Amino acid sequence: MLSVLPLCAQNAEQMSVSKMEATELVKYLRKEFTPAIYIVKDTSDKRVYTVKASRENFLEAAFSELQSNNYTVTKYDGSYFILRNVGFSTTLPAGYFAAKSDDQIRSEEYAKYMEAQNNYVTFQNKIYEIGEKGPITKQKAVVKGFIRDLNSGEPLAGIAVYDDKGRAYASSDASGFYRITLPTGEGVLNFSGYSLEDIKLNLEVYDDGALDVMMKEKVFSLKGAVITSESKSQHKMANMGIEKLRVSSIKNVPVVFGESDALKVVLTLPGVKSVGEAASGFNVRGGSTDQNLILFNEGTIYNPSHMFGILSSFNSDLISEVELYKSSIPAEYGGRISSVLEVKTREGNSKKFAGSLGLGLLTSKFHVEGPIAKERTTFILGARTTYSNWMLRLLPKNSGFQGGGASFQDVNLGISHKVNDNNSLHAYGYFSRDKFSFSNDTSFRYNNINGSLKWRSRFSENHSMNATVAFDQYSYNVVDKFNPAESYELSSLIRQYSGKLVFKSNLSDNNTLTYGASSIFYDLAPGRYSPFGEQSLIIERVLNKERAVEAAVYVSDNWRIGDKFTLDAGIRYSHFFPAVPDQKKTYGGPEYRISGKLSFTDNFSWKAGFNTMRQYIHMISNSVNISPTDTWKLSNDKIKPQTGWQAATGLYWTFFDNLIDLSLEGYYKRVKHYIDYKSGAVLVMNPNLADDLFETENRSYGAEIMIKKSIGKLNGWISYTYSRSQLRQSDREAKELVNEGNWYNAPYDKPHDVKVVANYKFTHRFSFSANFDYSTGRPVTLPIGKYEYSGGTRLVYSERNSYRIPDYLRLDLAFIIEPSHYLRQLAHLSVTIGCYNVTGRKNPYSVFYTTNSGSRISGHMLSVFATQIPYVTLNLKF
Amino acid sequence: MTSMKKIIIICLAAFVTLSAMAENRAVERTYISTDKQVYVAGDAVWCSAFCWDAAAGHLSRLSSVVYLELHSPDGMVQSAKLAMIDGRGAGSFRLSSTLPTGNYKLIAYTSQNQNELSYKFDNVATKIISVYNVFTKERIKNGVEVVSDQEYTKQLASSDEELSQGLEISVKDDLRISLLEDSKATVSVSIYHEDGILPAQKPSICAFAQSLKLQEMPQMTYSVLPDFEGEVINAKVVGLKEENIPSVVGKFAFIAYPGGKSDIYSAPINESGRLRFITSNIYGDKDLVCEIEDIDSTSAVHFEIESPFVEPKLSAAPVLKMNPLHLRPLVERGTAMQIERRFASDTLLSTLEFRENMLFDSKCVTYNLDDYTRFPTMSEVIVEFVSEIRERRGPTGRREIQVRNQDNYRNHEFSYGSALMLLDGVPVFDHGKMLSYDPSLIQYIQIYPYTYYVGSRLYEGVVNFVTYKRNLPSMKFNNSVRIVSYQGVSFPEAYTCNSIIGTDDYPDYRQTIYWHPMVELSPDEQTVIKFKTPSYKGKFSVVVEGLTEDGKAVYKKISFEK
Repeated sequence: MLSVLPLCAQNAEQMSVSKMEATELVKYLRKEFTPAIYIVKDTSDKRVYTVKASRENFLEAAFSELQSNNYTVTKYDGSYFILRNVGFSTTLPAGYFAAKSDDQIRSEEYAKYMEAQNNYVTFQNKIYEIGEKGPITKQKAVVKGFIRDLNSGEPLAGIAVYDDKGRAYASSDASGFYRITLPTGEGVLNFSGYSLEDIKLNLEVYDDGALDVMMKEKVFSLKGAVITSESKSQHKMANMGIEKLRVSSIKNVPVVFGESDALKVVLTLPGVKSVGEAASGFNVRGGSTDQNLILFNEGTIYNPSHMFGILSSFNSDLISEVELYKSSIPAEYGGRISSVLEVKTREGNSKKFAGSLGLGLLTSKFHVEGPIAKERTTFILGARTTYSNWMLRLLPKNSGFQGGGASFQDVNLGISHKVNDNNSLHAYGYFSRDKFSFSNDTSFRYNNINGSLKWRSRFSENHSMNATVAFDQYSYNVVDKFNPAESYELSSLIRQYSGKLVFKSNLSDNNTLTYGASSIFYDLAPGRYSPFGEQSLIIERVLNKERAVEAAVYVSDNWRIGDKFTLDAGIRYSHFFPAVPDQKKTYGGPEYRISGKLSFTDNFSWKAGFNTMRQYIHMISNSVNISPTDTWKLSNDKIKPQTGWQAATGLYWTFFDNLIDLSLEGYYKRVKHYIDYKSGAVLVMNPNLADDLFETENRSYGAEIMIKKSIGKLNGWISYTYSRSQLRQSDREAKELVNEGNWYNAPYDKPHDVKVVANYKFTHRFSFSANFDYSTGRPVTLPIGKYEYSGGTRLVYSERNSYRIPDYLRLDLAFIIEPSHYLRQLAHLSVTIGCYNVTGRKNPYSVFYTTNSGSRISGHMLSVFATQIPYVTLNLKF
Repeated sequence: MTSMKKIIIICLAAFVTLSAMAENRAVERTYISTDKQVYVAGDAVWCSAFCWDAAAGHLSRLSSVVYLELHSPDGMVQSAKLAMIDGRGAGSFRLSSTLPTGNYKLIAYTSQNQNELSYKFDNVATKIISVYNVFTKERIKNGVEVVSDQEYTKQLASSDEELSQGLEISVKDDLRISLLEDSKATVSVSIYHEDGILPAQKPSICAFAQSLKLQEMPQMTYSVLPDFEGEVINAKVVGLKEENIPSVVGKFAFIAYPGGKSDIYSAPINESGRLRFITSNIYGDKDLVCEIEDIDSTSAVHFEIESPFVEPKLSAAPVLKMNPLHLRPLVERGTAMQIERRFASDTLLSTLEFRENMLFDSKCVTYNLDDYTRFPTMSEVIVEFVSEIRERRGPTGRREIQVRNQDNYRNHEFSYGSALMLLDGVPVFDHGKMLSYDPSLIQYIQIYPYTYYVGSRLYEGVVNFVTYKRNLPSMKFNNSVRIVSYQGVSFPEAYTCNSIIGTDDYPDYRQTIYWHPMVELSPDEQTVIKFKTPSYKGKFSVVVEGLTEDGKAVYKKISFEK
């Protein structure tokens, strides 16, 4: 901060000091020069001084620098006295010893040298005496002074100053100065200003005088302030269908085995469904599981699940926030039809090292975070591993799953570096490894690897940029060694390299422009089927690589028109270029993102939106949720990109003192070129997969109502959704028409859906949580008859998805003990005790039929968690 | 046990007070010794009080406060209070920088003096203080005479005859004092720059000592309660019509000040709407919070503290004789005064021992809120981690804070309508105000889980909420609460200047270079006092004055050059 550079010039010695505080400067002068120099430190002087002069002029230059900031420099008896804002008298007034003095005139001269003895308001109930106490001689007196902010000391302008009976009124000017004429004697003076706490002062006015007042910002009930800001933003933004989850609410929702999980909490939101328990993929507003873009620190996650979907990929200790866009998707995002789920991790504690250790029934996890370079570079590292093999061993001997096991590990690393106030760099890495087997013979593995680098830059107050490059990889591998001669290894790999630029520019206070470009290079190795072990007779087969580039440019504008109306309009143009020789077709087109908001009052608003989306990568799956062996396929000459549009509208109302948010949203959605597979299709290692697929179109519509209370002892939300999602084969001329070319239910069509998440806080330490979930059973295709054909019994199936499995109902409860509030403890322990599926209802996951002894057909219902699952988890934070 | 002890102490104190009133017919005479007699406006006047009981023949054991008044011919211009222990007190007051040039009278008296029917406030002990205002030409009307050099030289010559009694002092590197009397003596010691400006008065300690031999017992009335434990603060209820006074009779009124530890005093309102707080002295200038317990929150009834100063009419002090030769000394004095006030010379003081109120001397449970998770409301703070107190409905049906009392008989029983809440040491009777107080302003919560008597009011538990700045931030009291500026007794201080090390940061132009208000001398011992001379050269005077145990004056003044 301070540097002293005596520079030797040829003739006169040049001296210079830079950025020194006044007292430092004086200390330096004292060292360099002979006369004694004294200064009274003024803590309110935050200025630093730079002086440059030759040695002979230096003292003078330094003094004039100080004088320029209200210091007085007085020479007395060979010493210098430096004071701020007051003078220093070293003479007597002229005519001091005159025989006769005009001693009747009260001189105010002393005030130059002594602080004016201003009254200074500290308490409201105090009686302030204005003017010198004594007999009152005047009828009226002038009271003046400054009004400042208590915390910042800044002058407050426009403060109304009036006396109690309204006889006099004044208001403060830009420097906080006021002047009011009051009747002498006792009185009450009021000060009031917008969002400031009113002040009422008792005065005893004897004469003209001064009274300085400090005013304080009004403290609204702190409870209320949080809600206000949260629900206010709901009423300010034009975007709709956005769900934000805070970490605290994620941790409070009871989940299976007590492992708090962001994705499971997303499933409790209206409009989000899964096909069943332990299914990790999710369906948003009638979309399929592959139509969701899952971004984890800008990296795309293809399989967000661990352990058959019991847990998600996201370590909740590291998450800062989770945002789900289910309707208005900002123009900067694209490439998926239904939704965008953005998961962000924290940047790490910049002041001290901290961490946590968690023990649960299935996993143990730990994380550390802290500064690498103080206040500039931080890191956060988290890891999870599982020890769940014991659970599979509990399975009955005859289940056929003996010898199985499941395990996973994942590691997160985030490093943030603040280059300067306007630039920061962020690096994220994610690695996960899953392995499971149902028997000794077959094992499944899959890995996620993500890495991204982000540069945030603020060019000016109104202009900023985010630049990201990312690498994502997802791969799976299946090994079957049941029969050594037929042992094989099946693997598949998706890689993508992406870059993204987002610029934000505030054109005015009411108008924000966002624009940028992004590009993704896809590199898919769809399948490799190779022999496993020396005895295997399998012939290796490798499917052709698929490569393509998806590029997009976009611009969107958020415009607040008046107080009531806000418009958000954007356009994204994306184009798809195959990068393999035999594929010629490119696809491209504009995507529109429009939403608007009309506020009737501060607490009541209406929104509507329309957007179109395009998707160039598709998941071909014969299961309804994401499974490790799903095949991902790029668009090609035969497979067109999926396109879709959604129109939505909603009403938002905040009431009961901003405590409760009510939202009602409705949508209608169409998707074209959604891919379904033909009956009997081979999905794995099929070089001509496109021939086994057919295009469908999807229509979905629904209404969502949600009541949410975020703050208070009782908080949580209740939502009800009515929604339909149906498919129809697009090619009406095809030979085999599914359901005769009519609409049929999508496998994830669950019309009625009630969700309740409630948390009751007894205190900040002890709380009770409940999670209730009801939904209509999902559609299935059932055998409705049998016939004998060439000596065997054959089944006659119903029309596709025309039956439903029984309804789904589940209640989970948890009791949460947060750590002690005493912060000086070394470690803080939190405990969660809970029970998943309290009612023990055997919720069916699927229904299947087997043919026993040739002719008997028996139906089976599979339940994943058919009983109560109690759990205890411990979390240690340090 | 603790509560029993408290009761005993309170009863004992009351008994002693009564006995002091009934039996001690003290006739008090007070002498004030000052560091010098000539000042510039803005200077501090260092005082030492000697209060003699002329009836008993020793230093008075009755009054513990002496009242000082500085008078111009128009009346009182400044006042001060000094606390006394066994007839000796010390303190200082600062001359206002607006005082016009002239001579002022400084009188001192105790409240016991007001019981003497014919007490003379302007007596032999009255001090003449010369004040020069170096900022303005303003003079006391007809109070200043500019004299010729000739006359001044004549004055100077006549002042040389020095008075000496009972002491021998010498100055080398330090000051050595020997007492020539047979009995012990208590004295004040001053060393100051002798710049030739003459005092308006000859030393008067000998005349004072002479006046201590009473010719006859004065007539006494005992209408004023003497300040035995400490200052007795009188107040009266206002904001109420005469006929409505009975509605507040018997209610307890309280005084306390922000930042005080145990300085809470209560008194019941009597039939005539008057109050009398028996304090154990409040030190320094304070904002005194005046509250009446259990009063309608909208009521404007409050009480006013009455001034203890008598403000008698005094004859004018002699005219100040000013001479142009004083120019240089006055500039020096003026500069020194400004330096002293600007350059934080309060580090040069040392505070002497004084008596404190020990009401809350017992151990308390302290929560430093910075050690805990912060919560937005006080109710949450209490529920979450302050287990010694709780929020419940009290006997009046209103929310109140209850303290878990840990007395022997009622272990772990919560108080019910009888706990005292303090914010920075100031009672807050409406617990709702404390429950809705912003806890982010609070630094500590101190809980005293015992039974306390404040005056005659009993509390089962006291909770003190202490804010960071100890100044009741953003507390809005009821209408009936008044906060008044209150001049407490001066802190007993000596200006020994021991902490001056080098002159790098402190320009040492001190005019009074040493002051100690209370030095005890023994007949056979030489007392050695170390002092530091300032950075300038000049003539300095040493004045030692005081009284022996048997009421004889001791006085000695010598000068030395440095």
